[in-house]
Amino acid sequence: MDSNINSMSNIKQHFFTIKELTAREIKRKYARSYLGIFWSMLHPLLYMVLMSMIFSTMYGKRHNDFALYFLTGYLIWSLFSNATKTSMTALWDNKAFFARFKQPKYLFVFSRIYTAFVNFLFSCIAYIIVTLFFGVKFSPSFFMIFADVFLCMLFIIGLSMILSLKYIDKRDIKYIYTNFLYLLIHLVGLYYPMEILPENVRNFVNLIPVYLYIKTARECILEGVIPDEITIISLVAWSLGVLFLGMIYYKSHEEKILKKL
Amino acid sequence: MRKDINISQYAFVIRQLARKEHIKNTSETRLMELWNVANPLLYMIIMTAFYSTLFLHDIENYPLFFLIGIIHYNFFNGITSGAINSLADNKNFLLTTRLPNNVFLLEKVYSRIIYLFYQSIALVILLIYFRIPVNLSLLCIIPILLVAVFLHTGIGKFLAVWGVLFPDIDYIYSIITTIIFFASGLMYPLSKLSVAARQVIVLNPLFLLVDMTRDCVLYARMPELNSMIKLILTTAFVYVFGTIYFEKSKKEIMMRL
Repeated sequence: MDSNINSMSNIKQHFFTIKELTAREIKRKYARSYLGIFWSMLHPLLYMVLMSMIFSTMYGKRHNDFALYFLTGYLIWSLFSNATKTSMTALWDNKAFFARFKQPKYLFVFSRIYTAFVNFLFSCIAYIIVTLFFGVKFSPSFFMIFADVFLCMLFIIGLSMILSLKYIDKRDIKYIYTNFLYLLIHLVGLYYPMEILPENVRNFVNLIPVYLYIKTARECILEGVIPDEITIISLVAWSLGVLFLGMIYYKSHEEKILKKL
Repeated sequence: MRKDINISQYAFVIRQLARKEHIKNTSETRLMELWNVANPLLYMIIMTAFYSTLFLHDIENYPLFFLIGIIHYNFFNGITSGAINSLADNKNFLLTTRLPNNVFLLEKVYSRIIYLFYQSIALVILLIYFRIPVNLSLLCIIPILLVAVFLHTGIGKFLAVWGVLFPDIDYIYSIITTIIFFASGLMYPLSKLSVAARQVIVLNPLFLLVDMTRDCVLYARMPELNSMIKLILTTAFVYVFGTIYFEKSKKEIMMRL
């Protein structure tokens, strides 16, 4: 009983810490800014409006919904890429505090992910405004988006736990990962309709987890369909798989790698 | 005499700062300094591999066509976006030493030039691989790049001052660079664009740079003299006024920092 109560208060403490760390990051980011946190919403809105205008004129009447296709992909992609990129350096950046920090170190990683998630929520507001403007028909498949984002977050957490440790171990990972993201951003067809890719490449891309999260989001919102069983199973498998892998990897390697600091 | 000494000290400081930046970025990695070469190369390989597989339009050698545009855009973006925070971020240095203000901007320019250099090596490899015929017009790349450096530095000077005086300009500028990306004719040749779009794009100096580079690198012909003249005039204007504005704003910057 006692240990249960203890772990409950521990978890509460953890959440509090994460929120504090995130608040500190956000304050620092907008310290010199005039509009401050308002930019968190204004910037994605401006960007989305701009890209919508550009894609509408580029692809014209033929692909009227290309703008939405892009925005949906962009929304999920930025969540994934920002969360993983910033959390990769979370442990290294805060290593000076390790000696005095009594709580688990991975909270630093979680706080970066949480920050990225908060920014994602702001972008969602902008996204909703733009999609309303484009008159997207509401359909029950929209609710699938919550599951999609939730599973994506699990995937991100697992991946970040591995990346953040690896980054301390071998700083090269940052360059490798950045280039990997370059490749990935092209493969998931953010800026192009998928038809442009040759058949065999498309088949390969269908296996990539990040693409699956993006594809699901596009299908749910733009086409009003729920993904098929294979996709759902893949999504869940990837999310849980990477999450567990990440936790196991972290638990087993944390001491060894942190010793190197 | 005194001026000479200043210039060589200048260059020394710039190189030291750039080195410090490189070392900070690559320290404790396996490949170390090699990443400075590997990064641009990898980028080029990924881009080429991707754009080679696309069935995009009927443009010959599309990967190279697009890559030349992207290299110029990244050069422009790297210098100008980096310029915005060059003064604000280095507050300590500027207030406590007697370094001239534009050292940090120049350091950014210097590192981007090095990055460009490595990308050019990759580009040359690609030219050979795709068996692009070249002739002496390739040498035109030198004046083109020279003009590009001055143009971007000039723009950078305005931005560096504004970076201190106007907060949030980095957000606004990132939107602007996105607009510029689509307004520079990077992805399609002019012939494929609407008349209206064409009229706007030819006013863009970045487009002129890209177009002239494509001419002399990809199509082995002399770039248009017209474009070069327009570019030189624009660059001279921007650079001169940028420098004057930069110097005039020194006091205000010091107060704000």
